Amino acid sequence: MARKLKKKVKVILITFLATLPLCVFGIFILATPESPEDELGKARMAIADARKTIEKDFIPPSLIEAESLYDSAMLCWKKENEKFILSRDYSKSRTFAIRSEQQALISPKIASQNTSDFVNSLERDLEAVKRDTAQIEQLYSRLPLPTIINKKYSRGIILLREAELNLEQKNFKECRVKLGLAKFDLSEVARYTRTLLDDYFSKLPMWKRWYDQAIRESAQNQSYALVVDKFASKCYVFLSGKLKTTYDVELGKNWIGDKRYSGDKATPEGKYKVTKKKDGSQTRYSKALLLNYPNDEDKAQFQKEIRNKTLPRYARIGNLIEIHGGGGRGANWTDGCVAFADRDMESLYRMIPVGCPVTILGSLQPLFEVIKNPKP
Amino acid sequence: MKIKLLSGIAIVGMALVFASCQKYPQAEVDAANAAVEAARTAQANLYVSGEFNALQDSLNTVLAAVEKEKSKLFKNYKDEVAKLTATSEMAKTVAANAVAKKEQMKQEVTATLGEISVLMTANKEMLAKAPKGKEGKAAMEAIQADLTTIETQVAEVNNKFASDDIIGALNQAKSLKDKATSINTELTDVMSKVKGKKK
Repeated sequence: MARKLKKKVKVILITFLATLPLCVFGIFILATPESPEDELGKARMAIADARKTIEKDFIPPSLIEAESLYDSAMLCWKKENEKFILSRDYSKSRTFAIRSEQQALISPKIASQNTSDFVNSLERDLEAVKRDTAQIEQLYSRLPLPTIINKKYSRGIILLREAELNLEQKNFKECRVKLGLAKFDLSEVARYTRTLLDDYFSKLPMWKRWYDQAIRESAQNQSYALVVDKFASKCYVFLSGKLKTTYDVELGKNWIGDKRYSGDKATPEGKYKVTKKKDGSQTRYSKALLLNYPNDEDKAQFQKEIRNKTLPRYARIGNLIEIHGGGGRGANWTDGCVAFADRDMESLYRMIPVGCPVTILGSLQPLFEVIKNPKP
Repeated sequence: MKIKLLSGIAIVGMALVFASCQKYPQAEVDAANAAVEAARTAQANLYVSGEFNALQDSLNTVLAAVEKEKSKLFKNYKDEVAKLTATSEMAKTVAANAVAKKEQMKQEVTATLGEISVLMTANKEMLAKAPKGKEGKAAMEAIQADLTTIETQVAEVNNKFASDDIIGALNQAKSLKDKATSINTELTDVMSKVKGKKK
């Protein structure tokens, strides 16, 4: 009897031991909280998608927050996983993950708006700077400008190119920085150039009068007249008031503005006459026409500047201004003379007599016309 | 017989309890994190940003998978360990690609600087021979200013290069080369006019 009871107890004990783990597992399986895997997966995908679509320069705060929330969700998940399985609570992690996904989902829209606004304004600004630069480029290459302005111009052009390269590479913020620097330099060049030209072109009405007078006298006297347009780098030959031919000319290095003193490398503006025809050993160029510079007006103006102390007392008035050969170099290079290509000089020399009036003026076109069509 | 069967079930149950305690792959997680960090240190986020983002994404995915496994009653990290190892390998590749890309860009900067140097030498030679005034300097001061600006900026490129800003150095070098080329074209044009005139 006792043996039978003992066996029964043994069976009950073993059965209990055998079913206990199963019961425990059953309880564990049923009571284990569901992990926030789905929510975190969705958040992760939303972040990855946003990262793919958003340009690196335009990551909005919402995406930064989404990533931070994702990290928090992961941290909470890890922390809960350290706890006893039945006491884990993933609700905080889940909440962070859901918020992370929400922030990541709205990010592309925010970034897209910011990006398109920024890029549009950047492209507009870049185009405007390029347009302005192109406008002054033709003028700039022909104007005698101080070294500091030349340096600013070349630096501005290099920076503008850098801005373009950054735009191509979608480095929008770097592009904005470079464009700002380029704009600063180039607008200073434009401002300087504009002031110089405004000042220069203020004499346009007087030049027009000289031009009209030269043609009128040529017509009246049935004679030749030369008109040198410094801005256009042209010399117009009139006979009996009619345009006979046009030549390209090159001028003094500092051709813009009137000649003020000897050595300023400026080409004078005024009404002159050919006083002598030179050739052979008389000139270092093939042929030359000497002008009566300085005329009475030039002398009076020079004396006035000395009196007004706008020129130093030791300054001397220039002389030996000629129309001569040796030109065709593609630059303004003389000390103040008007240079023709040798072939043109030969034909001019044959045509023009001593005493022929020569009018040297700044421009025949108003400034806005010159800017509109800078290449004569 | 009955006792033996029940004993077997009890042993299997206990075995399952022990099986559920597989070790967390801390070493592999640390290695993967370190490898991704090494890729970042190699500036993969700058030079191969697309690859780096994909790598970061892979790491996040595998870390989540590890946590998911850790949340389970019966843990088995075999797949995750394989994925972590793969991520570490991927990180090494991305880092190597970043280094290669950076090296390629460095070579490009050096080559561009070399081209600029050649252009500058030619430009200076042509400038020296370019049309002069009667006695004085020619109206080439603007070009001289350009050349001075380029020389100054070449020094800036070298500084950027030395301070590891390779992308900035390359962009600046490219724009300087463009400028040096345009001056070269301009001077070549002037020189051809001079040569034509001498003939």
